[in-house]
Amino acid sequence: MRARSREIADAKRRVGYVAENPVFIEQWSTFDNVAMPLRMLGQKPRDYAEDVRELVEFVGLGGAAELPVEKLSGAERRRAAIARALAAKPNLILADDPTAGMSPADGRRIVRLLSEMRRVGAGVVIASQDDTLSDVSPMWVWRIDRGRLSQPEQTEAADAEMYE
Amino acid sequence: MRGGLLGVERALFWTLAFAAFAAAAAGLAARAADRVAVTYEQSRNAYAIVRVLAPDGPAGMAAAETALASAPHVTSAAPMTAGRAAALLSEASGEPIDPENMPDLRLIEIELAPASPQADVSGDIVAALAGGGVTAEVIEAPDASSGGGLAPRVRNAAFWGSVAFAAMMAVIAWLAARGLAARRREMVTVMCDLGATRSQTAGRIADEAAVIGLYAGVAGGILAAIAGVIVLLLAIPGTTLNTLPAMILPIDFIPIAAAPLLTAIVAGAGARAAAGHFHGQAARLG
Repeated sequence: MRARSREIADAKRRVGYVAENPVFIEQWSTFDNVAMPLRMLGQKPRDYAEDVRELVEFVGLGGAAELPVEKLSGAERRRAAIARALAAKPNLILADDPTAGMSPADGRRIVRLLSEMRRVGAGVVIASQDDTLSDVSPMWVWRIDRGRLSQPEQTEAADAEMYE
Repeated sequence: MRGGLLGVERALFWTLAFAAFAAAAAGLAARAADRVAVTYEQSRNAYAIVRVLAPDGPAGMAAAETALASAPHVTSAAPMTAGRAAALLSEASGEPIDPENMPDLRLIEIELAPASPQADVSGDIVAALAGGGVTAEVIEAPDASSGGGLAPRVRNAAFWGSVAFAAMMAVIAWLAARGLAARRREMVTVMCDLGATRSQTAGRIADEAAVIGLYAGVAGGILAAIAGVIVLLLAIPGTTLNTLPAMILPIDFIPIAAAPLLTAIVAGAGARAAAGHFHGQAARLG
């Protein structure tokens, strides 16, 4: 049981997870929350400060880096969750309905952000109920209908990028 | 980053400081009771009465005094006067007794130096008196009717009472530290989600609680020490800040020194247990 818990913990460290309702340490700043995975890896603030700041800028929260997370809007929290998921450079990013409750523009921006993570070699899996997001970026698309998983569809653009 | 949680930390700090203060004060009180009991037992054992049986008359008393002057264990000897005997009897019976009515007393009060438990004090003194030509018996304080065995009972009660009280305070500290872990539940959830093991999560929260416990223990110990000094100054006539260092033994500092250490350990353990439990819950939900 203990070994299994440790294996799960190890697996979690290799996976960046963006929950539908991400949990943060609300009183901590966005910067501190995003840096949390790196602190858990034993890194010192002087080692990760620049990387985290870039990451926070990258998800568009540069102006809110020092704000407590409890002051962020829903879309900003989702972006902070993405930044936190990316902080430890995971092999795989799982996003569970990351655009839920967002405006279409914010949703598309989030999906674009996640898609860009493929450039650094991470696999990205996004679960969403919004069909329209699939045209934001080239990607493989599976559909689940009444519990049945469809064959994957891939766009020309996705093919082009994947086989470059 | 921590400003928003200051209230929780402050509440925990003062709860732990109170527990540490109460436990340390109980420990100091136990030490005081122990020292009073030891002093009582020493003074009880340091007194005896010699009854001179022979020779009769003042010559017998004089020979006994001479023999006692060089007898082992005896630090001082003084014949019991009629006035002294009447005063002692009046104190014991509660009724006034006229010294004029006292019979001829052939008693000598002696004070004894501390002796090892194996030493036959009475036998040595009787032998010394016999060497001086005096037949006498040594009357020591009777066990049952003059508080014999009371001191060990008081010492035991003080020790175990303070231990029990400290255990109660430890329960308070334990529960308070669990409160901190509950307040840090979102941190536990976040750490669990990010791949921290149970021991990492519990250790993080336990460290925080232990540090707060350490400082609270120091504060509680210092407050108990100050309270102890004030009690000594008020309770013992003639005590001043200058005479205190000579009165206090190194062992008296144990409750004060133990307060920070034990508070940190108990707070850390309480927070660790609670955080581990919350981590388990988060892991099941996650």
